[in-house]
Amino acid sequence: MASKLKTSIHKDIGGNSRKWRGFVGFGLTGVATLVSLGALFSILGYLIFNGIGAINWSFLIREPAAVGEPGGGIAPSLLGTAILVAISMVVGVPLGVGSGIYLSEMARDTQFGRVARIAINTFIGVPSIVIGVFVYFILVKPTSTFSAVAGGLALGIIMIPIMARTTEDVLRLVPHNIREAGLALGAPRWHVTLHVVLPAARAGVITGGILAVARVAGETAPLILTALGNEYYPTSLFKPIDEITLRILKYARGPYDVWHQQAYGAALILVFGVAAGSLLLRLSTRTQAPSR
Amino acid sequence: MKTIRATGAKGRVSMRLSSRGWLVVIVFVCLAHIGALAQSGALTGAGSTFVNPLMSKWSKEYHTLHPNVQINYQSIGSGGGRQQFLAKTVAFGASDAPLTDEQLAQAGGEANVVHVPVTQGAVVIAYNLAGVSAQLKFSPESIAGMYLGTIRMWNDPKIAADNPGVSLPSKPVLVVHRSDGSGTTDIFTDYLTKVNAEWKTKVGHGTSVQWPNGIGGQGNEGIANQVRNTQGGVGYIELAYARQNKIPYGLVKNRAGNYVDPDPKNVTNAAASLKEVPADLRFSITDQAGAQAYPIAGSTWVLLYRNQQDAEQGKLVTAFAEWAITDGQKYATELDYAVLAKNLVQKSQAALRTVMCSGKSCLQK
Amino acid sequence: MATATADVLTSQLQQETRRPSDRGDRLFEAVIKSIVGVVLVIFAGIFVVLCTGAWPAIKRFGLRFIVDTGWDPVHLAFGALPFIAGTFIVALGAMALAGGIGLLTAVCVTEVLPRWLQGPVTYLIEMLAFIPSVVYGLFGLLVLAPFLQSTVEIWLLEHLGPRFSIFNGAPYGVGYLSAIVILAVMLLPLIVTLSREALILVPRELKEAGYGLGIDHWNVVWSISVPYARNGIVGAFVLALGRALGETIAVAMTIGGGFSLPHTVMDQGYTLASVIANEFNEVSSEMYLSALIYCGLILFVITVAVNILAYFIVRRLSGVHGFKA
Repeated sequence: MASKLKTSIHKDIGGNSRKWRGFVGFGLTGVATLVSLGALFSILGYLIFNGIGAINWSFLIREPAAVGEPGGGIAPSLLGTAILVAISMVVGVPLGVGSGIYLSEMARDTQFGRVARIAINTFIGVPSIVIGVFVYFILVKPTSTFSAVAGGLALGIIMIPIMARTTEDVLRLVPHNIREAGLALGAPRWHVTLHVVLPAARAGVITGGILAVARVAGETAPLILTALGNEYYPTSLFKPIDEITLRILKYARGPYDVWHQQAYGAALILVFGVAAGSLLLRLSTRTQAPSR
Repeated sequence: MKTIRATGAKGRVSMRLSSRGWLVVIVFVCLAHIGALAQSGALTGAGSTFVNPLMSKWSKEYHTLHPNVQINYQSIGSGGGRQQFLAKTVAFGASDAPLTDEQLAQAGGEANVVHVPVTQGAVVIAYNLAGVSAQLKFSPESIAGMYLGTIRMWNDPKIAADNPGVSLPSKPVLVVHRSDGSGTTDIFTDYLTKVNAEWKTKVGHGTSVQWPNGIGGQGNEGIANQVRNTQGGVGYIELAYARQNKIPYGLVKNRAGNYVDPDPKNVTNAAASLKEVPADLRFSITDQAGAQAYPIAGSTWVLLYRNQQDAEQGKLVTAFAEWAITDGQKYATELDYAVLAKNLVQKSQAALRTVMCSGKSCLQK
Repeated sequence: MATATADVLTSQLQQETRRPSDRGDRLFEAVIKSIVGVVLVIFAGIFVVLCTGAWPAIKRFGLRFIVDTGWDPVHLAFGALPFIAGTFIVALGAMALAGGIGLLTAVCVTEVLPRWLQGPVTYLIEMLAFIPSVVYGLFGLLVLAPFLQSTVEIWLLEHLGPRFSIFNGAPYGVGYLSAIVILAVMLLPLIVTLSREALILVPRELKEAGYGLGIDHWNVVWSISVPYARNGIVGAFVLALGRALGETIAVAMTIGGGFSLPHTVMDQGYTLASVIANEFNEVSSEMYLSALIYCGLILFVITVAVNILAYFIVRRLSGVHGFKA
């Protein structure tokens, strides 16, 4: 770094040219920022402009119309998304939070601990389509049906490492004196973990959970191979089920203008639902003690 | 910060469910109820995108007539329909290409599978050429040339020869084909294999082939979308998709030398030219001899196992299929599919009657 | 450090006082360990299922699969090289684009924008992370691709095409270009957020020392701040790479679907993830299915390898200059 400082000083002797260089340079960064913001605004703009027309009461409560016909709605996919997310949480939250507790409170420098840590951290990076293939072979094919359970399982598996990571991060932030105080008072280790440390980190764990849910609600690829999709309201957890991103995928790829508009409408609902949730989250956690 | 509860010598702690815990319990109870409501009237079928507009219409209309029956049809392509049929993950598959011999073996032999033709339709050559208002005409050589990559521009002499008097732009031909396993591809390549020797040796015929050029779309829907969005694009799609989305399509020269419109009546002409309908109901109606027979015509079959494992499901699906080939045919006309000829309907019904539920014919009341 | 002390204290305490809650502790530990065990079994199970499904293709094609081209479902000749190449082309292309624009944006936010503007702008860019993959695909397919086709691709074809064959392709709109641009937008929030966090941690004194020596603002940024934050920025790029390799749906919707190696910038292609997503439900034969699962296996191996690498790189960089992943 010292040599860089030297060359900077030498360059500096150029006088006015450095002013222009700075001007152009920072101008470029400004352009980059405008491009970044422009990307956001154009996507949101198209969603709002093209999708707002589709959103009305019948859009939210009716089943899809026959192919190419106007009208109809995306109600089964909204309900399906809620059901799939609920099932995924049944799988993802216990396994994820449990793994997070392990990594934060119990993983010693043993072989098992080290392997577990590396495995869980790489698990996050496994592409969701691969998880879909996995669930197809262990559940869909043996039970001879696409199902909500299979879709929820796939989403839950995706959720596990995300929740593990956020739980671990949040638990690590709990000050050690709290743990030590609990232990000094004679409470057993497990009691300290479950009833002292975890509640202290509760806000962070819930935040992590909501972020994981938001992430998982946007996953489409594994559902193609597990939930398949449904034109009707779900009547069984062991039959195919629709989901909002599956519907967007189907409608975006088709040629029908009415499909495109409904895809934009669904996308609008999805994006603003997730954004509203995260905004509420930010506002509510800001009132608490600094978590970062 | 929670106060630490001192544990006595026993070390027992009282467990109280937090509000979050109750939420989980409630959700569980709701889910269990939904599971218990599992109606047997919900069926899943999957496959052909070729028939999707019609199948989706049938599903809706049938649901109106029988409100407890939901036919959930997912158009994932004929390849998908066949694969899921073989994997037994759906109540029925729909495919524009009958099962191959290899696939029949996989399904447990020819006697184990029933092919039920439900409709017929035209595969049209759709294109996107702003500025050309006349309806283009295509000969087999032009079509094969575009898809082989030997014809690269719209004003190529071959295309010009088919369209005397039409001023064709000097734009590149942007070919769109199917990237998924497709019955429509099977019909299209079957036709090209019959009419073009170069295609026959270079590419061949099947639901998936190694395309010499062009880009892939997902489903009839995908090709239609792609052609609509691409200046100079050309693609092969079922007539309903072209008409519903106002995509221009061309006349195609048939074996008799006439440029024929893909109108449903010309698909019926093609079907009528078929001399003998084989007993297993697997047949092709491309490149038929009739004077006004549209050459790129095809059929869609519903695939069923002869012995239905789930008797309830078997009754529902055979009843639906029978309705589709009889009362349902009026929707075919509305959506520009060809109505099945009487003798074919009779043969289809006979085939449906051989589907067994618990030892008896499923259609038996 | 503190953990070690607490551990020692705890075990000492526990040794000195035998209590029935030891059973509770052991039970708890057993439950937690079995949870982790289940997770590891799932992880391993994915690998096993992939291997089993890919086995027929592995037996037939061997390792040649990785370097062969050609994808012929009729004659059952499959080679995954175009997809492997496609995966890296799209990932690296998107990273280059997102890295350049993202880093410059982070510099702007930390160095140029007034304090009251920094928060809102950062939040807005973070919003990009909340848009699901399929919505990016929707935008890419219906808006970006036609736009690229009628502007960029036609311009390239007409002006540079005749001289450079790499620009002499068919302007379809969908293809590598669209996929790279859309993936770059998806990676942007990651790079901007993490780079910004790294840049914020540069100590004031260091920068002021630079100013004191007469260095202008621009040079302070590039000679002092960025090198100091280098570890954090590298960490951001590595995480972005991991994300880019596994991205499925947005790429599947915009990349067009091509089974051969690209020759021009306008060509279509496939990445390992997107070819599985598009083709899985629709294979025409068992061998085709097996070949696709073989692709999934290769993808799994690549992403696990990259993620392990990323884990160790990030761990090495952690704690240095306060970078936190």
